[in-house]
Amino acid sequence: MLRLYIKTALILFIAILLSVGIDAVYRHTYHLKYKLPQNILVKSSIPDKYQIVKLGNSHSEDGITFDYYRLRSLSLASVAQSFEYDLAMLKMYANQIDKGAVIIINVSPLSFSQKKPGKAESLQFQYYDGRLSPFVIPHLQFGDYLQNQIIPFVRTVYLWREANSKKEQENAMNTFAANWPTPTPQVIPTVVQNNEIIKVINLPKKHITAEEEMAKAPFWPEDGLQKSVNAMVNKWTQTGDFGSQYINANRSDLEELIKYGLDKKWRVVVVSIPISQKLIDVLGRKYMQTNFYEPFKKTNFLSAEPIDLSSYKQLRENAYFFSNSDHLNQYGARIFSHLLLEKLIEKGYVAKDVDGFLVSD
Amino acid sequence: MILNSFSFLVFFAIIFILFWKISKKYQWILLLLAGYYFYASWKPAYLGLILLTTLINYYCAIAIYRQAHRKRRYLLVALFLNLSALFIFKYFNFFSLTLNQVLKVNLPQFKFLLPLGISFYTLQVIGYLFDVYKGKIQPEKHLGFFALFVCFFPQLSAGPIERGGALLPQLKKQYSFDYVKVAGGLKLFTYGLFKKMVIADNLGIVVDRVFNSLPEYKGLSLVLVVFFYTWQIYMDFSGYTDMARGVGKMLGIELMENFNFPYFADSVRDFWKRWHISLTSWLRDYIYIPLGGNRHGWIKMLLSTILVFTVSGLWHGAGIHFVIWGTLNGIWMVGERIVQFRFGKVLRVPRILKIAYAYVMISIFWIFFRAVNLSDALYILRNSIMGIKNFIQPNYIWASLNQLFIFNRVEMIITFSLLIIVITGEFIRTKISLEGILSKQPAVARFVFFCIVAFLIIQLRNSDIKEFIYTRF
Repeated sequence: MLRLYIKTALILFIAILLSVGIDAVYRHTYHLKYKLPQNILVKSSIPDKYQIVKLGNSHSEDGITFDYYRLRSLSLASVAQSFEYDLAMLKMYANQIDKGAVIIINVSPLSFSQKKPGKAESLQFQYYDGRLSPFVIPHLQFGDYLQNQIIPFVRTVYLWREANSKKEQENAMNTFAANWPTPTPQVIPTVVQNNEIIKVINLPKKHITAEEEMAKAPFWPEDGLQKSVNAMVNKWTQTGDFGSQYINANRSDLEELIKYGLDKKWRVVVVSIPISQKLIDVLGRKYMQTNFYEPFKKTNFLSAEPIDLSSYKQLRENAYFFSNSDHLNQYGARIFSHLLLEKLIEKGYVAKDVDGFLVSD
Repeated sequence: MILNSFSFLVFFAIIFILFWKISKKYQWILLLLAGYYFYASWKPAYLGLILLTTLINYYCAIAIYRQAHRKRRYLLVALFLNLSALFIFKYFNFFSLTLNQVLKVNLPQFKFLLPLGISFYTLQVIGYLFDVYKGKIQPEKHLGFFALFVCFFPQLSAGPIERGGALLPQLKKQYSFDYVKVAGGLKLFTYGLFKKMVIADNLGIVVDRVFNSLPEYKGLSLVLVVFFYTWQIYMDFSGYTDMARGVGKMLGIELMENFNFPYFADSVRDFWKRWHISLTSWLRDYIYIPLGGNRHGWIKMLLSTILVFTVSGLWHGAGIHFVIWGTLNGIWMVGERIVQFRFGKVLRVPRILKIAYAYVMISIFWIFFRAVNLSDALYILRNSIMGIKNFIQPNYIWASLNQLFIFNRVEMIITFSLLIIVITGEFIRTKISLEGILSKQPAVARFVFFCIVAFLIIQLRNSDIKEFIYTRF
């Protein structure tokens, strides 16, 4: 039996040596360095303590910003992040959050009906990329983590093929693109950041309320969102990534997340974020009732504060605030965050003077 | 847990070491526990189902043997229970959906996960019951050995469908470590892993891409993708079988061969003697022959053939396209028999042409097997020959390849290199086995060969583990 083990081990050893060799060539070609992932242990590398923390999926990532206010804020939101992963994020960064800090949990009209990422999906969401320790990643597939983060040389040829595939596709597309007519540039609201000076084009210079700001924004019809609405509806109905069957599990995860936050003596606020009226119209009134209002109403918030900001019609019906059917753009995010901040001030979660930022040219 | 997963490798390494370390009289207990763990890793709740299946069939087989005057009744009861479980988990939704559409009724749909290997172990125990009923074998009186027969993990997920007479005596034996046999099993497992993870999964990338957005493809692209699929499914299933047989062999147990160069068949009928042999021989022994076989005239024989293959189609999956796939095979075989009978002595066709004909027909039938639904299959059939006049023009061929591989020449080179390796390997293996070739080489060459195979498996596999096509059945 020993003979068999030795032979097998030797064969594997040589195969791995060859793999390391190929990996060295690959890294040399693409100027990449091998490094162990950060945050392997449940101890974050961020030294600061934060006063306000946002969680949630891309709706929150895109739609909530505290950059304009005097708050030490931490973003723990990420694309397609479920409540279960929100909890993992909170656990991971608990030491960096001030006692009594405000935790913003985002609930969008798609949050309850979104399929929870399981073992098969966990790799897709980039949670291995230094943000979460393997000890807190839900449904961790040890094999995946190992070969992606610790011994990447066992998939060098795959990575090389991916890199090459991307390059070849870009080359091909550029060849075709050279013959395309140049599109007419569009004027879009933008936020230009230059070190500490933030300039918001078309925004008034004096301090005004969020509602006034919203009212002054130009009105853009929602027709431009049609394509992304169709894509979202197809995603909802055909991919299996969304469905009413996921509501109970997500609601239960949300309740667990709230409880964890409250147990840590943080002040937990559950905020609903708007999606475009166009998408709501296509999904249907019944959709909102079943997949959002009912589970939201049924959720046991304990002493957390639910704030429903998804029903602002002025925001929902103006395509000027959206980058697509369900994501606010930078301008929408600025106004939505302003609305949220006003609510937080009103309810005593943050001090009034944090909203003292003056917009200037 | 599937045979090509990291978790299976760890699981099997532990079982392998324990199997050869513990006392021989406990080897079967270890295998049984391993079988239940393997089964529960799919869905723990279904452990009750396989335990129930084991108990019912164990007692029914003994009753069939002991109570000769009531044996038919016991057989029918056991068949009813086995087939009911299969029906509920695999076919209920298909039938309720069909009835809802046809009769405009509102039967419910269940969201069951298909129990692992239910189609395979159900056939295995039914075969066992029939063998006991016909007196070919005696029933297994030891409940533990019988439970192991139902739940032997290497062949649990997708066969081969073993016979009681062949597998049970092996499970009862006590084994001593045999280097040659174990090393042979490890090699077989490695070849299987190579077939699955390097060849089938790489071909699967292109095949899945096309089948997931069919309307974008027409003409030669579709023909090429069907060609790729024929090799994908063969490498996938024969890879699985090699791995299952390899694992069995490493534990001292020989499982039956499932393939015999199927794409070298010279007729569709011949193909079915070479493809999934454990299933076709099961269908022959337990359906075709009881229906009368070749003994009751031409008409009955031909009808039985069609019926058997329709059942085979339905066994593969609960979908109308699977039924059509099976029926088409049956009808075509009937046609071949008639032609053979009428013109067999007159027609002298070179074997190479016969092989080409059989391959084309089987490829066409595979379209129904792979398609997600009937309309997709018909789309491929309608659009494959579109622009057939251009099929020999280099520009058109290049454009079709670019569409299939999204302009990626490296992927093209890898895919076609793998296909050349496989097809050449198949040609050579018809003359001499791989083991035969290797045994004539010096030890260093053999060692280098296995290092390269291991390296290719590590590096050319997909980023994610893909399940075997046949484990879905």
